[in-house]
Order: sequence, then structure tokens, then C-alpha cells
Amino acid sequence: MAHSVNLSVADPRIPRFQGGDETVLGELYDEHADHVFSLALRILGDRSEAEDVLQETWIQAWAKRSEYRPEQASFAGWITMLARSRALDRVRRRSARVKKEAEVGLEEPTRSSPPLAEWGLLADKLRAEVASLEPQQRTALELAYWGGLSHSKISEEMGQPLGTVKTWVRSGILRLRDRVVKERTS
Amino acid sequence: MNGPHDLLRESLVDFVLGNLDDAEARKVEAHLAEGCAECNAEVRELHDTLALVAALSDREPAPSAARGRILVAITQSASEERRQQGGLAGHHQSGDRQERHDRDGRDEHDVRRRRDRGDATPIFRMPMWGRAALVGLAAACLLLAVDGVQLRKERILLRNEVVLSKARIVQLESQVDESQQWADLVTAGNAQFAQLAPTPDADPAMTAWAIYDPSSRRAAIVVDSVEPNDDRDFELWAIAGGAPKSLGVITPDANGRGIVRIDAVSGDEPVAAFAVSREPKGGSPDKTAPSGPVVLVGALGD
Repeated sequence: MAHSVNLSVADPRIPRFQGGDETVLGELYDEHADHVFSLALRILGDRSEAEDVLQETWIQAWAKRSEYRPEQASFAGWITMLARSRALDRVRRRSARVKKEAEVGLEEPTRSSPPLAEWGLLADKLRAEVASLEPQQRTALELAYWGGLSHSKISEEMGQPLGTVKTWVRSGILRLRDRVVKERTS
Repeated sequence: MNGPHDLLRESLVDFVLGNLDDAEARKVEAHLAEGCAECNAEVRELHDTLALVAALSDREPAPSAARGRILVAITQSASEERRQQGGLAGHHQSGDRQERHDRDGRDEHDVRRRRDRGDATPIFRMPMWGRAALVGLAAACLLLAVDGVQLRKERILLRNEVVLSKARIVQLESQVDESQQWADLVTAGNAQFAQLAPTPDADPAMTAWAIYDPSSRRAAIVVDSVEPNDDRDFELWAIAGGAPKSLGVITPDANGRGIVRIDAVSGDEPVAAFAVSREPKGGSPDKTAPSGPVVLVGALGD
């Protein structure tokens, strides 16, 4: 089942976090740790490694807290980016096979709705948008996001021209972005 | 029309996916740091979209044991930071550390309770030699149990050591990354240098040099022999398009050296020179012109 993420624009805890007040960490951790762990587990497929990534991500978030720019990402968006980056570093280090990465796909639209009504609605819309992508475009997106592959590597793996792959990934993400923005503003 | 903004905006998807090389990523970062509202908003939307895409996957609860370990490591790291900064000594005891102590305490309490219950509950009568054997066995079990608690404590301490070491490694990696970025500036193909010459108003001991990469607009300026003074500050200026632009007040270290690193000098005009002026405390009230005398100035050249 999908899980909720807090994308609040002005979280009053963030200035305290950035100012080095570690007392807000527990709350932020409780809110985002499952999300970080789930993401790492999905990319790595190994609980022990996912736990390491969970740990490294929070330590890195603390060490780089002054570099976080709230105008460029919600805290959830930022911590997701840090966790994905660390998990993909591990994948690259252990030279995981592309096939295995490709098997870890985007969610199919057959899952049940999550409990939080608002998030559930958005998640359903987003899933439907993912499902409406052309299969090849979805695969390119999966390889780019979950596999962390470069465009040229995806082009090589899929036997498609580089320009086509770039268009697929870019237009796919922008389409998902447009859907999220539309649902959040409607 | 494809201006720098339009071209950079085209790169934002690759930027959030981490697909840009360092130079390209820096250009985007500099553009965002300049405060382009449109691109900042788009980057935020893209980051949030990817966080939501990630959240479509099944929820896997993070291992509960990890929480205390991670938070204790960060709390200790924060205490260390404060200690290094000469602030409060690291005597702060967080709720999590307290929780760990509580948990350890509960472990010991459980052992004691089980032991107490065992002592107070006669099972059956047995001969003296049997009782002696049982007492010996109980003592051995007790020793093993105490050893077990001790080992558990040691394991927790060792794991915390590992976490702290990892925290230090992450911090060091971050410092190395930063150093590398500034080292890249020195070796950038089109980097320009300037030795800032003293004017008649300068303290003769003061020297400065600057390096500037016109393509990324990154700059680093080092000023030596800055005499600390409660009544005045030295302010750094970039001269671009014939107009000065404040780059901030120079804060010297204990050795009188001030290093200013600018991720991206704002504006479109190329920087032609750098200058340092002597100003009242806090710098010139007008950030587009020095209010005090210029003490160092130098034009950029290859």
C-alpha cells in the first residue's frame, strides 16, 4: 500500500532543524523514516542495506542541513532526493544488473487506496497517470528514477535513440508533475 | 527565444534526477541561487512529484531499533559540533539518549525480576547435593545473564561507535566535496586571476588575491593581514559593468586571513575587478557603492 508524505510549504520545524536544534529531529524522523526506508528497500532490495541507507541519509541530512533550500523542495522532497542518491550510489558500487533494476517498476494501478483520504486521492490520480504512460516511456522512467541510469545507458539498454529516451523521461516526469500540481491546486 | 533562463529551465528535470555533470549542475544551482522564482518553483514541484512517485511504493516500516541509534548518533554529533564551536559543552541529554538508558535499565530490571522470581519460587524438594548443584547452575545462569546484558550494552556502544564513525565520514566526504569544488575553480580552463594592489589608504601589510570563473561566475577571494577592529569592517566588492556590487563584509580568522567564496556572483555583466573598502561596522549602508576609502583593488586577467 502507498504511504503518505508531508509536502507542506512552510513547516515551522525546518528553521529549527537548520539552526542545529536536534530536538525536532525525532518528529521529522518519525514522519519520514518509513518513506526513506521504503524507497531504499525498493531500490536495493535488501533490508540490511536499506537500513544503512536510512542511517546514512539522516546523518547526511543533519550534516548538510544548511544546504537545504526550502524554496527548492519540501523536506520530504529533499530527504527523498538524498535517500535515492545514496541508495543508487550503493547500486552503482555493487554493479547491480540493469535487469534487476528494471524489475523494480513503478506502481501498477491495481493497488488499493491508502487510508488518508486526501493523499489516497492524489496517489490514485498519480497512479492512473503512470499507468497511462506508453509502456516504453514508463520503462524509461523506471530506469531513470529507480535505476538511476543515464539517458545514454537507457538508450543502450532499450535500443532506442538517445533523443527519444530524453524526450520520454522529460515529458513523462513533466506529465506527472502537471498532474500533481493540478490535483493540489484544484 | 532561448536565453540562459530558457536553456537552464530545460535542464531542470535532469537536475532533479541527478543526471547533469558537475559543471551543468553548478550552472543550474547558481541560477536557482540567484533567486529565479519560476525555476525554484519548478524544481520544488519536480522534487515533490518524485517524492510522491516514491511514496506510491509499498510502505515498509523502518526498523524500530534504528531510530534510537540514528538519533543518538546525531545528538552526539551535534554536541560535538557545539563543543568544537566553543559553545555549550556536550552535556545535553536528549530524550532519545534517555530512552536508550531507560531501555538498558529495563533490560537489567527484567533480568533482576526474573532472577528474583526464580529465587522466590520453590519448585520441589530435592536432596542437599541436588540443591547445591541447582544453586551452582543458577549462579552460572546468573553470570551468563549478567554477561548477556553486558554484551548487549557493549554491542549497543559498538554500534553507536560505528554510527558516529559513519557520521564523521559523511561530514568529511562533504568537506572533501566542497574542497574539490573549489579546487576545480582553480583549474577551470577560463579562470581569471587578480592580485589586489594596495591604495594609499591601505594598511601596507594587507594583501589579497582573487580567482573568478566567468562561465560559472564562481569566485574565491583571499585577504591576508586583516586587522580586527571593533569600529570598522572591510567589505569586498565586485566591479561588473562599471558598477560596484557588495559581496559582503570580510570576516578574518584568528590569523587575520579572510576567505570569501561566492557560488555565483549575481548579475549578467562579467566581473572586471575586485576591490576591498574600509567601512563602518557592518559594511557600507549602500550595497551598490563603498562609503569608505577603497584600500585594495585589482583587475582580473588570464
